[in-house]
Amino acid sequence: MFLAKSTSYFQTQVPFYIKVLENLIDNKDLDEKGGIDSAIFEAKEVAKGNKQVFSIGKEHYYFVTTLLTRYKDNLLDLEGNSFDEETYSGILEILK
Amino acid sequence: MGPFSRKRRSGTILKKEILNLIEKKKLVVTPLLDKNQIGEMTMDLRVGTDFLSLHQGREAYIDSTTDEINRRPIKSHFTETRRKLGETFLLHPSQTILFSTLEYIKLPANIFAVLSMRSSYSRLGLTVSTIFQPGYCGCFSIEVVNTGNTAIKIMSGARIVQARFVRLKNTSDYFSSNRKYTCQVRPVPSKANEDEELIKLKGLLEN
Amino acid sequence: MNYKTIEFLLLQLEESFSKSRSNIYSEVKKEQHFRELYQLFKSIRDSEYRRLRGNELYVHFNILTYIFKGLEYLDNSTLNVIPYEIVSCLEKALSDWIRREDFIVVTSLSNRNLDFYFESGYSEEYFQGLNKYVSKFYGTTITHRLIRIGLPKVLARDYLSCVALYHELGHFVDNELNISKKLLLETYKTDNPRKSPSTFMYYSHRTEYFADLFAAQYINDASDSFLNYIAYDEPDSQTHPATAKRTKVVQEFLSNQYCMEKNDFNKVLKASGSPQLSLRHNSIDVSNSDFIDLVPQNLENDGQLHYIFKLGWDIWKESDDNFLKDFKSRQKHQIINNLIEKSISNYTISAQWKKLNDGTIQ
Repeated sequence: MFLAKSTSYFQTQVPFYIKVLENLIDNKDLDEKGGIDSAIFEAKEVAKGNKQVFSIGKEHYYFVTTLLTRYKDNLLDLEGNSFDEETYSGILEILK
Repeated sequence: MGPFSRKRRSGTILKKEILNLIEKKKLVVTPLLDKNQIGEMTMDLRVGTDFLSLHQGREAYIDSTTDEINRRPIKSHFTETRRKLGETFLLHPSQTILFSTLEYIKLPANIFAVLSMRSSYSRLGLTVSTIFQPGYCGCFSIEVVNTGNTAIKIMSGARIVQARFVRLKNTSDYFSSNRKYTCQVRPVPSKANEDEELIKLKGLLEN
Repeated sequence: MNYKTIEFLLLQLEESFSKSRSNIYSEVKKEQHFRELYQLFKSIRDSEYRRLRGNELYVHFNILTYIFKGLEYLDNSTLNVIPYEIVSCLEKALSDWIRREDFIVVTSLSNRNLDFYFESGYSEEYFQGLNKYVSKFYGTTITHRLIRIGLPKVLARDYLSCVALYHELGHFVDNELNISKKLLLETYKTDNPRKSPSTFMYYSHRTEYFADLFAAQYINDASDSFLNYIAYDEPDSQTHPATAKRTKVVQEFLSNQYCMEKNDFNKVLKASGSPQLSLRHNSIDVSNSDFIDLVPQNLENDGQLHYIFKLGWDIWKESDDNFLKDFKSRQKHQIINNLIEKSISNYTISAQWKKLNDGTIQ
């Protein structure tokens, strides 16, 4: 806003991520595993200092930065670029 | 005046001179999308994008005698609507509409413009009658009446009217009096009720 | 939340669609967007929404709210009400930053004076999430994203005031590219502006500086001129930097002096692979302008198109001494507005006509 700022910080995308993660955990729908795994990988790379904060892509920006600020310690322990149900469950907890 | 100098005569000016005046920026017509708009003695003008149509509202009549705050303004009797070039507008029988020409025009101080319908449109029953004074600047605001008994669809951007430019012997100062319609780019409803003389006329009754 | 909430929203939307169905937008993208929103609404209405539970309820609440918002803006974006000329300028600016074909600029007209705003909330991330979901469950998708800008109804044709819309477009670009958010994350290690008063102030002030600089790229200090009319000497607030600070940052940028804010933003932009903040206008000298002859400016390029607002402001500020001095105050304002409007429409119409004749528009 020109004078008083718009304060819409409501994270409208959260219910969609919850749905995707629930499906991944239940092995119901794996279509989006690739997208979620690459977002977790990107967060891991930033957390480990291999990638700049300024370079985070916009496709999963909210998801990546949520992991960075609320799941950082776990990110540092992750290996590889494909993740398991335990990881998804941990992330689901923070989103809920 | 020397033997070879050309004395400018009064009367309708022709294509060559129209082009010459435009070239010298003494006559401004913008945008002039197609130079073919300039004919031998007239220039075709296009329907613009903005329209005002007169409608019947809760007031029984248009009051052109007062501009007091407690009276409905004249513009409230008109509905404003826009079209993109290429879109159409429907004129109902007996309906008066106002539109602006697409072209913004500035006339030299010694040339006035007479507007008439292009014959293709006057044959449909559309009429227009307007004169613009020397020095006028703005889009021409044009009142069109559909005098026929059938609705007529016209297209925004179509060449519908033609202007004849007439030179006077002398120049006139357009801004010597207060001008109500300067630099208009959209059709403007009548400002008859803003005529300062109306107050004087009312004063006659009080004396 | 239970299914009755969804039912309630569906009934409200039914009513809303019945009013909006007669809208004529004069733009293919808007008509398509309306049809797609209606298709999505119809699919949900005709589904077994009474059986929705848990997170699915939130997803649907969210989708129906999205449809509602879309309708609100479409309703205010018919050709009769949208400030078409300035929106055409904003669209040109937009194409410097994003793929314009993917977006529709829509407006909502407010009854409150000076109520200029950009409504955020539906990012690229949201849009992708939405489309994946509705494509999977309802076999439909939404093609375009809306850029939602609000402005006061009474000022929709006031081009001197509408310079604020360039600032609002700056908020959209900031939000889209996450510029201020990235600076917050880097500086305060949080993605939540509301974490503390200082994070909120830092983040809010970044967004305002970005929007100011974004606008200045196109319209020079015209936005500042307006700001100084409506918020003269305002001190720092939680949401906005002091007016003097905002003016100073814009002046540093325009005069190519060291400007910390610009440099910070450009670092983020560079790392994101986006264009840099830079001057994107071509100035027109008042003394040589066509306005002096009371005719529209013959604009030669997009840079001059954006600058027309600055030209308008410069002439307005001097209008008691320049060629407008003999006109009444109301006329001065109207003349400037009219000439700006016609300059823009002449430029866009002539360009379209040329393309048509060159055969680039079928």
